[in-house]
Amino acid sequence: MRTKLGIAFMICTVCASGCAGGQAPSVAASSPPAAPSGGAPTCAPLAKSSVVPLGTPRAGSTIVLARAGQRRIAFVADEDARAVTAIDVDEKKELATTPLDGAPSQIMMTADGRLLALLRDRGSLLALVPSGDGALAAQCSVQTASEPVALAAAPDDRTVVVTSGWGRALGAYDAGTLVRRYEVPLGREPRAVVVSDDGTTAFVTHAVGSRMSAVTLGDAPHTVKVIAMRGADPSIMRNMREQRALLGKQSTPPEFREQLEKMEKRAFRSGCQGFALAKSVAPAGRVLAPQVLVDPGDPEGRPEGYGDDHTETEVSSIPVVDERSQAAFDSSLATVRTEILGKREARDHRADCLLPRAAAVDPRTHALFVGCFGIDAIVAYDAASASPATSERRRWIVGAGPTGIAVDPERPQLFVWSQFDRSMSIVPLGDPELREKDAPAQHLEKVAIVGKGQKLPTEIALGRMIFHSAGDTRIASDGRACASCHPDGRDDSLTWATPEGPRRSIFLAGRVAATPPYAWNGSSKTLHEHIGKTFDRLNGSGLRSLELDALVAYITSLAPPPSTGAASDRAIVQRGASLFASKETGCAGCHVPGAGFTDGLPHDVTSKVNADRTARFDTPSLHLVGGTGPYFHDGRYADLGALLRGVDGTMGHTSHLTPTDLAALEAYLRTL
Amino acid sequence: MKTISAFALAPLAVALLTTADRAAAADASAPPLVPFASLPVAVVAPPPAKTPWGVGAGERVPGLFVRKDDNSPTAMVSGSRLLLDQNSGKGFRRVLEEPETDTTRDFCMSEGERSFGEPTPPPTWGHTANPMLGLFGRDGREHVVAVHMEHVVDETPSSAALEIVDAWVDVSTRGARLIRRSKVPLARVATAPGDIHVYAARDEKEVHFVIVEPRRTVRSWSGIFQVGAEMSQSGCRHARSSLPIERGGAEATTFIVNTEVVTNDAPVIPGGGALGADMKAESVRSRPLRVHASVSWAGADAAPVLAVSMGWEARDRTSTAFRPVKAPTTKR
Repeated sequence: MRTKLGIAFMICTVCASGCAGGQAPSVAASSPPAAPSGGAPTCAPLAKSSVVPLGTPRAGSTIVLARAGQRRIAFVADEDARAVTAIDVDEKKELATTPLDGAPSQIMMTADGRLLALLRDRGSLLALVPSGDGALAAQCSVQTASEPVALAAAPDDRTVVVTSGWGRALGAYDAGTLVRRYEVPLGREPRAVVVSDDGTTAFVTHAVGSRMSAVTLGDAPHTVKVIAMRGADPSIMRNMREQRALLGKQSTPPEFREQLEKMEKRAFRSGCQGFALAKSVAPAGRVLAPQVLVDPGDPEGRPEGYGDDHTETEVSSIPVVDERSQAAFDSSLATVRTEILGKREARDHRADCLLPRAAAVDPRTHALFVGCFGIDAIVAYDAASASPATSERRRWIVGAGPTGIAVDPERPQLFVWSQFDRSMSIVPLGDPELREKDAPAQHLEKVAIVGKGQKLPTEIALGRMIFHSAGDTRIASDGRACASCHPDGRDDSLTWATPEGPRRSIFLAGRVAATPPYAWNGSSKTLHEHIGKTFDRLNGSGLRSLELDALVAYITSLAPPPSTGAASDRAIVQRGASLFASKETGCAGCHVPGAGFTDGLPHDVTSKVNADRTARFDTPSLHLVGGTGPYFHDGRYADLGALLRGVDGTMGHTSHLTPTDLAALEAYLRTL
Repeated sequence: MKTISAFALAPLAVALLTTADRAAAADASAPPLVPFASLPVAVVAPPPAKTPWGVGAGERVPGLFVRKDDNSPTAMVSGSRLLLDQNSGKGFRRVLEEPETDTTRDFCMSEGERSFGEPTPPPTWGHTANPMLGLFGRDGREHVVAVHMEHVVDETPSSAALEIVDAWVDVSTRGARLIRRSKVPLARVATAPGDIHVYAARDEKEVHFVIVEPRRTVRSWSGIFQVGAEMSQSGCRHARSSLPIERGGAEATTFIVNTEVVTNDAPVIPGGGALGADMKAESVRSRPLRVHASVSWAGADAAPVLAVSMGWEARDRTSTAFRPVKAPTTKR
């Protein structure tokens, strides 16, 4: 069965960031013929539903379980097909596909039996009413901040929270009416979200930035506490902790503290790839946040490749955050050294989960399941451990690109949605891998989604798989994937030590094709050439031309993030635009509007540092510049304000600008 | 500390046995959570703060053997007389012929260590443990060294005990004086393939995890590695990691140990030559196992949470081990 929603939801006016209450959801312009709520197309909880959630995960995913009478249904959010497909999980057959107006990033069943869906490219939260045959009828929608990526429900099922990636916000909505209550600004690239057991705090991961945000819910003020997601060798962490304690007791000069902070910054690895979250059940009160810890190397050095030559640049990590103290256990952020066991060889050791994209907890076996891109595996860890990343129990290979995991609360099995090959894997649990005898193993089954809805072109689909291919020695000898430094095709916000000096990773999505040459020194005229050089620095053996073509096709096809909407004050932006174009500031001379905001030429803006081999750097595009900090080739400026104040006389002129003009110029840059 | 009241609870070893057995049968990689209060209470005492001036040459501690190393000014200390013999080049054949009777790795030795700080932290036992200690002579009072020896005894399906002997050993006189002798009850909390058992006990400050290997039937063992909070290698049949208990804190350790299965598909090794006619080849399939243990105490936890889990560390390997074939005893 195929239900076409074919409607454009009337989205009500964007509520400015931070506003509270009052935004009413719109009603579907063309309601389905038989709305289960009795025909009234209002956004309200269902009095009665034939479909009920299976279990109470209260967290969004790309796959959710429901029951309709005797039938058990998995709803999957198919981002490629821009549809939600219902699958009978016991019959293992597809029931219905419901096309949507946008790409669904996550879905979640509410307690009253509705299916909420986030449309990433549309910036909307959608309520759908499922029927027993898996078909979905539209109920209503509400606009969210730009690029909604994840949602979760509070324990009382009255509030739904939504994170928005490019919009950098957490929005709270009434679970019944979808009226927005408030919105809280966050740091770069928020992703997964869960709500604490007591309902007072939302924990939000960030794809970049070594942080988790703890946002207070309920009544204002809604504070955001940043939880550091950085880690190091246990002995270094212990040493730093002792030194901090010592400094706390003594009156020490500020330079001592600065020195310690500098040492910590260098010794600690940065957290990255925070795409998934899960809450432990027993023990309760813990948030498990799969990520990776990255050592981008000493920016003052010149290694042979990207990052330190002598350490693993990326290691998997699963911080355990105590809901009450809102801090991560040190042990869960510690990187475990295994070099005493000899050099890690890919053949001898299982590939790490370097691109975690989904997580779920099974309370029966206190297992944390993590879905990993690249190795296309579900890895089971001990959810009760103080250091889950070192407690791997076993793993299963599933379909390519696992983006969602649903634990069957009634039977010992998992359902995994894999976006890249559009299949649902049924993973049998209770079949111990650690068995001494050759007992017959239970087999994993796959249900492939039949070709409904639009699919990615074959070349781009292949390119996407290669882009996310972790553990592929053709790309990097240490297992890094393209997506390791470019999560979601964007950037990791890190400055890497390279043979040329320190280099910030570049934001790719939507701004690569039109901005040759490539590399910070502009040494590559084409993407093919630049990617080849990158593989060489990663000590990868390289791809075949067909695969390289596919990779380039995928990278150049990446859509830019959706617009953040109209600027709040057009007059300020226009003032900023005129300042940008003025001869006095000199911005537009190199960042040419109409040419991708670059002149494609190298310039010396006196930004060379000791490790740099050259002083001339290619003019970077300013497209999307508002969301791509820190700035400059070595990431020296944390934000646009610091950049505008810091470059006076070396890259244009800003000292003559008033604070108001500087703010206007910054506001304009954020619109690019 | 409020949790001390929990220590008054009696150890529930029998209940633990039942649970552990059920876990092993269901899924060895996912043993059930072990209640903290169910662990037996035990104390592993640190070295004394004050060191004696000397130990007389005639002083002895039963079960602790001290011998001068032939080639260096070193005192060799072990609980195994046979191991000290082997260190002198004797006693190998018996172990090769009857590896299952080899007890040379049963005793785990470590040395007292002092660290510096303000105020001076109390001495601790070293993390690296081996069946034999080599103690070097030093000046002044430092020729007297605190030695810790422990070995696993009373092994049953549900429990075991750690027998501990702490002593002062004088490197110059090779005399030994008992500090204390104690026995730590252990409850089994998990079992891994290859008869590798994990035991645990607790005291007010720490949870002690002990991993015990089976006695090997072939000599292909490679040791127990410990990574995590501390990094060490144990040459003994068991390894112990003691993790601190702290509200709001957490600590974890990972043991990496080889599981071994002797198979009968070894290639036939022709007799004679360098191997000698009486050497028999055995094919040994081994796979590194990762045994992970942790203690954590989050804000919502009424008591510390223990976690033990295991999984394969790497792929399996097949190697060939040789053992002498005992000649049949013939009566003349």
